[in-house]
Amino acid sequence: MPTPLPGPVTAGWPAVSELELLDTGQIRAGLSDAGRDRLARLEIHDQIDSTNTHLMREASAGAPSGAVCLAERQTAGRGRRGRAWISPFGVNLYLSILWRYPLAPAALGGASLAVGAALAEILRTAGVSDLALKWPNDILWQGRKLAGLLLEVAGESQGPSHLVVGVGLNLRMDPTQGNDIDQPWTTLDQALNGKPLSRNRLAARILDDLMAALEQYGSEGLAPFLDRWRQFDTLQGKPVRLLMGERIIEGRHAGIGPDGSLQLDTPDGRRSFQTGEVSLRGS
Amino acid sequence: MDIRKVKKLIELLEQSDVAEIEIHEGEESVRISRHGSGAMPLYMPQPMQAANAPVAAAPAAAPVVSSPLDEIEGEIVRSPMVGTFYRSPSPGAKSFVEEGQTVKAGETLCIIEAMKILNQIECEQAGTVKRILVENGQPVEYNQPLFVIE
Repeated sequence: MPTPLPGPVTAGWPAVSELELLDTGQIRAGLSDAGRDRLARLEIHDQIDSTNTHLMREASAGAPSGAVCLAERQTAGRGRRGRAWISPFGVNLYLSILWRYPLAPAALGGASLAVGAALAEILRTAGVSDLALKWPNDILWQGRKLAGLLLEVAGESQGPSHLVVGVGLNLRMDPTQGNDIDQPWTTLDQALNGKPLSRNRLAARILDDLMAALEQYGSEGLAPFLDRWRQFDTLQGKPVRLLMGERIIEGRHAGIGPDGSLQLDTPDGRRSFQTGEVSLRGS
Repeated sequence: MDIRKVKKLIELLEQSDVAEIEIHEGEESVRISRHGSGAMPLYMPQPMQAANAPVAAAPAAAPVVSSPLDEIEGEIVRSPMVGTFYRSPSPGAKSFVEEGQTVKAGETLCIIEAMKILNQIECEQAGTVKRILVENGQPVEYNQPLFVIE
């Protein structure tokens, strides 16, 4: 796609008036009563290194469960293992939530799928069809990455522990801004075919539903989220490849186990995995 | 038993065809076993969560020290979960800790990634990092020894 030209705003490009800055008042107003109760602190930064890094630091300094951080722009937005999350100003959503648990860190693994399922449902409600969840929580639209989650945990080996959930959701970043992204990606604007939507209302909806999911995970674990996750499992039964460091395991995708692990049917029988990167074979 | 001695035994085992050795020294004993073709891998007792862990996730030829590491001087920091062990926050970044380094309680020793969650493993008591027992990027099992802190 061409770079936007200076001059009159052309169809397909966001007009200046579409720049809707994040606003604490509007986000609070968009929350449910339960959401307002769960929200302990709401910070919005024009610019920050990374909303996750910030909340992990704040957590060590005693920040409460339900602390939330959003930023218009991240200067060191992160994915997993050193991958950058491209975070230009004002055109996407970058938000993180801190949640505390009495549980051991090892008991929080399923939260990865619980928040993935909750976020996919929010996007479906916003009008996106053809959404897929790739284990454990990549959110894809037509095979391209629409949103990513970054979860970080610290705590005592027997509990308590704290979890920071980071959400990066592409809204209407243009192709030049996303030039450095090393995988196929898309935006909510594309997935909704240009249907307008309020960033503040969407942020409020995400906070509301994710905080509810985090709370429910603490009391009920992963069980109530399994079927919610499975609605978006498009790889079920398909031949896939799992990349684990330098090892590659091939098998047939057999969905997720009760603990959220990835199940693969391999020549050695059904096996469960807690780590690795899944891809469709032959793609 | 001195960890250097255990390490030596592991090296001896690696260079030989012996599948398993068990050494008793007074009250202490250690059994080191190689899990290769046909031999059952010997892991620490695993809880439910790890029951279905892929056994082949451990490097196939690496010997696994399967019993009392407790006699080794110092505290052993064990993996609280099945996952992938990382010594630095991101590839190419400085390691959280090196052998010989002093650490404070609460300091991050490593990251274990499981279910795409990055778990910061913290040091529960102050001391000196005597040994780092796992290579960066390797899969780890539940309860697998990661560090010796003295």
